[in-house]
Amino acid sequence: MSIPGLGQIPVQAAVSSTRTISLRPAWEWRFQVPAGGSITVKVLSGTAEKDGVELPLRNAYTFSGIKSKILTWHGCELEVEGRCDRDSVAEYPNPVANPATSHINLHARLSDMRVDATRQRREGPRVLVVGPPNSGKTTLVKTLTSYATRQGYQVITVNADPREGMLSLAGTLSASVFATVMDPEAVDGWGSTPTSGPSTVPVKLPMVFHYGRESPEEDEDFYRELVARLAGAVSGRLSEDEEVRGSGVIVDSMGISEGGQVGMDLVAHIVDEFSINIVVVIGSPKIHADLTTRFASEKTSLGEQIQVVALDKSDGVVERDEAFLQHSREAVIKEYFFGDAKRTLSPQIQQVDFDALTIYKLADYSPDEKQSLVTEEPSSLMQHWTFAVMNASVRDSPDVVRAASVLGFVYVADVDEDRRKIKILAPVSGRLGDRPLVWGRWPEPYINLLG
Amino acid sequence: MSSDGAEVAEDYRLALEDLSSNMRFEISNLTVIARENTEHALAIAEVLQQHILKAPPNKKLPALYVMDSIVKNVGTPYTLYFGRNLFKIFMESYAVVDHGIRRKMEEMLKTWKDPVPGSLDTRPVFSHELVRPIENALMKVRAASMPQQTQSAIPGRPRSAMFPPHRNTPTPPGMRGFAGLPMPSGISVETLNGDIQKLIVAMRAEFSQNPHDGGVQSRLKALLDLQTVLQHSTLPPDQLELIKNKVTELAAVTIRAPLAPSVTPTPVPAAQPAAPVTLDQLLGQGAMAALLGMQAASSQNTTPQPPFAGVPIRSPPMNHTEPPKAAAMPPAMPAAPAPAPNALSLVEQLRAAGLLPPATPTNVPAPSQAPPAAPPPSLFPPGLFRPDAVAALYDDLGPPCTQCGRRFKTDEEGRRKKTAHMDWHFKVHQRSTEAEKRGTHRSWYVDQQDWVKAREAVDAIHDVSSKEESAQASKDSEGPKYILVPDPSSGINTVCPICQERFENKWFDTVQEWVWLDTVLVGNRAYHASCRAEATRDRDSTPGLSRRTPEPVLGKRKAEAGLASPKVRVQKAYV
Repeated sequence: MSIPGLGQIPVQAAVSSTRTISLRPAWEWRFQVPAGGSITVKVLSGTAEKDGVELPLRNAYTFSGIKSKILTWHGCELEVEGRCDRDSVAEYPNPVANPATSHINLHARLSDMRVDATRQRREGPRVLVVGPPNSGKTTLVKTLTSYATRQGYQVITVNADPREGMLSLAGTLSASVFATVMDPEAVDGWGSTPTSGPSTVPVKLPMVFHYGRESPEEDEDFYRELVARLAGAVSGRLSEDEEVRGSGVIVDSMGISEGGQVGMDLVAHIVDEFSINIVVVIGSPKIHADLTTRFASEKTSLGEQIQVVALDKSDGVVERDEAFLQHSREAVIKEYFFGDAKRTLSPQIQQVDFDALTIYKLADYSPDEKQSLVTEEPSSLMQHWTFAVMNASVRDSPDVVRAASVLGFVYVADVDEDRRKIKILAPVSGRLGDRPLVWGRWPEPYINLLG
Repeated sequence: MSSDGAEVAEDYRLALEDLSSNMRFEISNLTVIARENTEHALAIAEVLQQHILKAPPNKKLPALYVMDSIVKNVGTPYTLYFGRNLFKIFMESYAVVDHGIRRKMEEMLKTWKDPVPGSLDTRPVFSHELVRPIENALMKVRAASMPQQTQSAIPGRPRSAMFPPHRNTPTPPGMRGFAGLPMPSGISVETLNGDIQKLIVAMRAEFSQNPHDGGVQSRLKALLDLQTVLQHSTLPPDQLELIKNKVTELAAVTIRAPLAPSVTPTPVPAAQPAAPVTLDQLLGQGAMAALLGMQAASSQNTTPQPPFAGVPIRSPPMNHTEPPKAAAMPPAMPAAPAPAPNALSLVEQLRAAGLLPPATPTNVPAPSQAPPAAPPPSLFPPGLFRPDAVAALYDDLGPPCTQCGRRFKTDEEGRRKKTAHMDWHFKVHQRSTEAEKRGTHRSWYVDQQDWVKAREAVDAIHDVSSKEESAQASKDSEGPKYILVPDPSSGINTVCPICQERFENKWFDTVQEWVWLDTVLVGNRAYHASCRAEATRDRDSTPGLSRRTPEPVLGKRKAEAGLASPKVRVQKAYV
């Protein structure tokens, strides 16, 4: 090429780590990117989606610390730059062989129900997704949610699994209406919440409750109480917001083990509270059978039959080990305070007197102990923990505080016991003294945010 | 005044350095300055040229747009000054920017060949003598990087539009005469297209019956490519003849020999044909190149991507009964296309290396590969593949937004929504830079009552902040006021009655229309929004309030927001 001034064009060869991946319809490209590394993916042609979110052509998407997949319904070419820990192309002899087909069919069915519901101005389908741990529940919920928003529905998605947060930190339960396009690059896989500035992907507005433990079974009563509160808010929104009503609800639940009684009871509780009329069981014929029997004679509060649907687990689902999950939780905390690559946030550091704060700690669980929260003097043990800022008054009783909705989180950067000062990182400037803070049991601190 | 020249140029240089985005206001401000200082045109043109040449790649496009805006809105003498070095300015910038910007530049180049829209002057923006060398150079670049180009061109956006044959633009010799004329040799493009369409339909049917017959697939692909070529460019009759013969031949084959090879699906590596059929094979050696030369990289979803040749050997099909770890295919595979005959041995090697699970019966797909079925017979029928379910999420929704993938229908309402949506993108981009300076922080979550009362506002900016900030923000985020350039016959005035300046025609990227910026239509009279705001404010404001000081030139086109900006309403829902 001897055109003046064109010597410097990096014709593809220069970029050795860039490669092109061709997928045929219903194939998937599965990839794992370590927490430190990142890859950039562009769709060159065809169509592609990640967890139901369509990736428009030629937009560069950056992924880091993720195990995910990109699926195509029409075939596509992807341009990938950067190194994956692992990646592979999952080929299927025909679309039916890919479990994603059953997901899109499920969505199509839900979509029909939404059309009917909207016409009759009643509640759309309430769906609960259950299954053993690592069976692809959250991915399915994300996919169904995204499919719904793509068609213009405004579905309420609920996370009832404290192990992973949705638009919030781990250890919380949350609900949000999804009406706008979802962010495929979001650290928590869902999106981002409002800030004082604009956002290139529309933010989602969650309502959050703080559970503060890893497993619902650790404090069953409290978990049930929070689920009930969440369901109360959701049904309030359903009855007031016409747009949302016809679209219905999708609930993501904690992993339950086959044959575990407590898990089953909690599922039944969720079904009850949210008037679930469709239970989707992924990857466990046993749970499917159990739930089918259990709900055979039951009806929802709206008088509908409860359908129990079995779906196959995708063979692409991978185990996420504790270190990986920890990294994800950490990334979410970082994103909460400092934002991400697309949007930098500036949190506030405050030095506060011990006496200026009201800190509660979740009491240890014992079945006969009624005390739910105990006040706690700041101590160096609190270092690097995140506390939930509760939407309550310091004069409220512990039980009220505990079940209040969450305003946000603060991070304990440093505790100086001698000078009785505590250094706190808060998302917003302003006094914290008049809001009670709650110190959960989980997730444990593992990063120093101010490093 | 000559001592001012250096000063003006220096100011202009500083203003250019601050220019980092395609913000209309800034660009039109710079244009206005250029117009008001035509006596220093040479100095300004020089500064701008230098800036374009020196700016980092990400700042080149805004600067080029300033040049574009000046030549279109001010014209001489700037056109003359820029014209001298146009080739250098354009090509040096083109060489260092990325694909997206190149595309924008090509689009800009295209507009230079036309007269300024809405202007009485019928001469092109830059003379053809200036534009043609650039086009020729670009064409060479494209030809040189054709393989990359065709696969990376933007699908859905036919590039051929860049060099429309009916224009007086360089076309390959021998092509001129045929442009746009019906084919003399009796081969009509329509019938040929029809034939190809029929063939495609037949091929599709065959393909759906045995989706993994590579031969069928690549033939289908080649046909689709051919169709694209035909639809997007005009071919000389001898080429058409060639295509026609081939199509006839192919039709005979397709219709006579239906899918013998694969009644039983054979998803074994060897089933993949070693070399997929390409246009070359269809039409003879060199045909592809010849076609491409004319096609000018027109590209659609269906255009020549290297067919699935790049796809590696087929890995053993995923089987549901396989343990999940089988999904962990060897990472190197997509990068290492191996000829089909080696496939088995490669699998063996991988297996030996422990990268693949040992050959178990599951790796030999039993004919009964249906998903281990049995969703209940209820509302949810077992997994049949429903193309309609896919279409409902893609094509039925209309074409996607290039920035976020949200799809919009092409009907009236869809277009309205799309406009609102593009406005939203625009506002967000506009405000992001500003928000960066101000510093943003996470907002508190809402409480239950607010959450229940909240309503999702699609394409409105969610921005929870203090009152002052919101007042400030509402001012900024009001967004551009503009009207589409009215038809001259509509009788709408072309000069602002207040300031007596002409309205400028501007290409507004986000709505893809020519507009008058900062303009409002009151009845049948157009006003500059800022002029009018000022005028009405003076009338409405209480005498106690002081008149605002005259704005500096750079602020002249800033639109002032009204009180009832959409922003305020959003605030209510989210604070």
